Amino acid sequence: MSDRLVSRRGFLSSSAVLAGTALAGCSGGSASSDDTIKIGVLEDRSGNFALVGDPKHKASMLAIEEINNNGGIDGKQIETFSPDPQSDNQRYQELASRAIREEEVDALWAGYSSATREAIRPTIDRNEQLYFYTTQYEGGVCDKYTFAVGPTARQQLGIVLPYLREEFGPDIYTIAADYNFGQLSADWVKVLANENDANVLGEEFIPLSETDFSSTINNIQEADPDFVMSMLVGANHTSFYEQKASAGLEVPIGTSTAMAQGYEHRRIDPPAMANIYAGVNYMEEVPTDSNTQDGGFVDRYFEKYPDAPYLNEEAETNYFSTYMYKEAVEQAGTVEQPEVIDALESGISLGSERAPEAPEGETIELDGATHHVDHHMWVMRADDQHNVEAVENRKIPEQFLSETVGCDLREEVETTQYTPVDYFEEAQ
Amino acid sequence: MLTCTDLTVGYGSTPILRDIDLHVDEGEVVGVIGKNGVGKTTLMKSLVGLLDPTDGSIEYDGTDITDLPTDERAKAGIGYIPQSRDVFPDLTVRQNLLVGETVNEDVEELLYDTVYEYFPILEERADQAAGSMSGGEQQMLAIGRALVGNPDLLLLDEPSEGIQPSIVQQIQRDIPEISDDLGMTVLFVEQNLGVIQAMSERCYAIERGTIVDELGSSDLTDDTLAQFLAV
Amino acid sequence: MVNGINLFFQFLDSFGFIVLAAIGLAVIFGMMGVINLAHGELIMIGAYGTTLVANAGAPLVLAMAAGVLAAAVAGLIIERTIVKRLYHRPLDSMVATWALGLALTQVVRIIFGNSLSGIGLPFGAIRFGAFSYSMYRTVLSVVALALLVGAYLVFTRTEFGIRARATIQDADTARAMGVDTDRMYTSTFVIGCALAGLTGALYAPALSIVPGMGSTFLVEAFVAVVTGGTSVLLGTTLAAGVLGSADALFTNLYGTFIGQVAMLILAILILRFLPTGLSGALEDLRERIGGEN
Repeated sequence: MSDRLVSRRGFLSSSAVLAGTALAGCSGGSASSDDTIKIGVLEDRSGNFALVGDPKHKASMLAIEEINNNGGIDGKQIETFSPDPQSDNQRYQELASRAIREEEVDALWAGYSSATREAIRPTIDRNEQLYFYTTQYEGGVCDKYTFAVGPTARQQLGIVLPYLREEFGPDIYTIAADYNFGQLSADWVKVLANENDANVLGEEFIPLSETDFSSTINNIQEADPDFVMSMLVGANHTSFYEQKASAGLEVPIGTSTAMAQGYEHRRIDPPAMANIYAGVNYMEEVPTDSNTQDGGFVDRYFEKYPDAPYLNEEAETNYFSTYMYKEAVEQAGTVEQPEVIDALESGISLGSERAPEAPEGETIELDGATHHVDHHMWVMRADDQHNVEAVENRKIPEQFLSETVGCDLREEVETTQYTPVDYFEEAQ
Repeated sequence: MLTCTDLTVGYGSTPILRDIDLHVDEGEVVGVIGKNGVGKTTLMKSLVGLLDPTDGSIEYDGTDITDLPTDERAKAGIGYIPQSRDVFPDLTVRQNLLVGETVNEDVEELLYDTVYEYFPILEERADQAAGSMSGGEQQMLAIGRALVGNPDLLLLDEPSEGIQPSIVQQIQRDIPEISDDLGMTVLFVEQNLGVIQAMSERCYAIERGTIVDELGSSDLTDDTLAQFLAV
Repeated sequence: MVNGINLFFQFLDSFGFIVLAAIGLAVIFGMMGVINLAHGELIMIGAYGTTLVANAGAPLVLAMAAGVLAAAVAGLIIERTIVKRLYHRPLDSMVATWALGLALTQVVRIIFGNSLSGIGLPFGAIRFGAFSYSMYRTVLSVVALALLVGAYLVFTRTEFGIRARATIQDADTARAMGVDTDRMYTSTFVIGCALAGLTGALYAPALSIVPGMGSTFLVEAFVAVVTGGTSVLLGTTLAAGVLGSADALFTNLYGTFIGQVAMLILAILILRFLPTGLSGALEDLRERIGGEN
């Protein structure tokens, strides 16, 4: 690593005289040498989000290794800048600045939580840095430089909530983590409940530090809903599932957060996760050919990382988005960021004819207008042995920005996050 | 029983005690007298091991204990009654005595009978917090705490300081008696003339950190003592 | 909605959690004046020991004993190598134990990865009407009470406990009475660490086993010790009772977030108006009543 940095600096100083003008402007330009592309990958390998962040890092490295072994992007090898941000938003801000100003990365992947994304987005926007945010999230980010390629709450809840409404009945109780992701996800539950003739009986927001759920369990029992929607987040909240099982609460639970990210069904003893339905674009058990066949995504991941505990939802997003970037660079014929963004906005599609780049389904399409992805969504159910099976799947496009807000980044440069409160009465 | 040779104690280049030569025979009750600040308490602390001498040696019961840790000196039979008593204030009277037992984990019989015979109040007030007792009562407790483990040598640091006269009277009568009964050796430091006369068989006089005189029992007159004590 | 039985179980849960979070810290801080910022990591070690041994197939009780032992051994090593040199240097010992806590978290992460697969909660549920409670968490509050009584008896009734307290009150005099004060310090520290390990062992089935799990307990632990005040065991009991009540009541009325807020506001009020803490205030009250008689 240090060798590379030294040689790179050597390159910079020797070419400075010739390329002075190109280097003087900082942002949009690229400082990579002619035969390499530099990618920043800031994913948590320690701290609070390590459990979910580590697979993201690993999957990025897998994609990069595969691409490099197959001749790179347009013949250029990919180099990485990937220090561990340790789940610390301040560190993220420092490292994002460093990636952009000192490392001069051609594209940046960074961050697990929405709080992290919002902490670094001002830096990203100020520097007009091409940025991929790969976590499933609350949705609504309409940002010229950000490609939020994970599924949104509306997509995730949009597959699981209607399914549970159909199977179990109309009454919903919502529990969610008490920060922007949880609050906005709960708003989406209300919007979707309205669209599907369901009612939200009550909602409860729980601090991330909380580990005691006895009152929450009581409140659910008192409300007696047909199913619960859970958007709990992080290691502390995992206790909810064990406690509700121990307390004998047997109501079905729909979730956009459990199992697919933190693989609770592998970590905790059965039957705590029985009858939990995850609305996801991907988890290790998703039964597509490109995912499960011999030599498929799962095989390749565990061949590279035999000791890895699980291949999670966000790992797949990091993986395919790296290929998406490859497609865009090749289409643009350059790593210059404005041109690459233009190429991405022309719509990139990864699909079965180009497998293995779309493990979640037949095809994945990037919507150039909103910088979001039309995902293939699944409802995955765990049984009392914690075996996971798919009970429903279909393609769900991003709808909020494209249909409700009318975000079109090809026409207008924006850096806004829209929230459902401004557009839906029931979210107010 | 106890011999100090050239004992020098102090910090840096200013010794508090210089070249102390002192000897106590078994069964003797010996006083060390002197005014405030001449180094009496320093002497006691270095004998128990709470201060390390910079020079010289301490011999106890035929062995050199100069480098022996404090708790092991206690277990070897040195009982200590600190200046201003230093009872454990939050412990009860009974618990204070129990700490005193520590020295005697498996050696000899405990002396609860003797302690309660001389200081019956310690049995009556067994469950009272030591910190809530009067100074005199605390002094009796401190003596009881040192006695209960059946020491061979008792070191008393100014037993009369800050205590009501009636209890001083009792202590100066009891200590020699206990020494006689049990064959216990006693070394005490004191500046109260009455106590010195009542208890000492002989005594050493200290001035400015060094022994200036040794007085036999016949020398313990008011006039002789006064020159070492009064201002 | 406030429901008497719900509130009662809620209180038991909060009380148990606060006591178990605080007790190891309380013993080490109260008895030795050392603020052990690696407290959470010792809890984590107890939980890891328990989980690893249970996952290897041992019965839960045996696994918990292993967790306690692991924390006690860790405590012994920490005391002999680091804390021993830092008695009577509270700031230095805080920095050292804090750094140690960070290092322990990272070492555990390197060795065991980002999480261990957990062990299920034993016992099942207590049901009444439409409601049910995890039996195990209710049992924990009983264990917490038993631990308080046990610790009280050890420090007031046993020779060891009395010598340990004598050492804390006046180490020089205790040494002159034959007490091996170094050993007392070591033993007290190890007991505190073993209690932290027990907390980890008891909560191992109820929590996610991740390297940073110790931080879950820190707020309650420090708040309870600080508001408890001068007399540690009594203080911890009172703090857990008072803070647990506030937490249970407000959680029941307005949800977990308000429960936490109420608990911390109450802690601030206690510190503002009762500078000697809850136990100090109780002792003052007792003296005042005693004085009037």
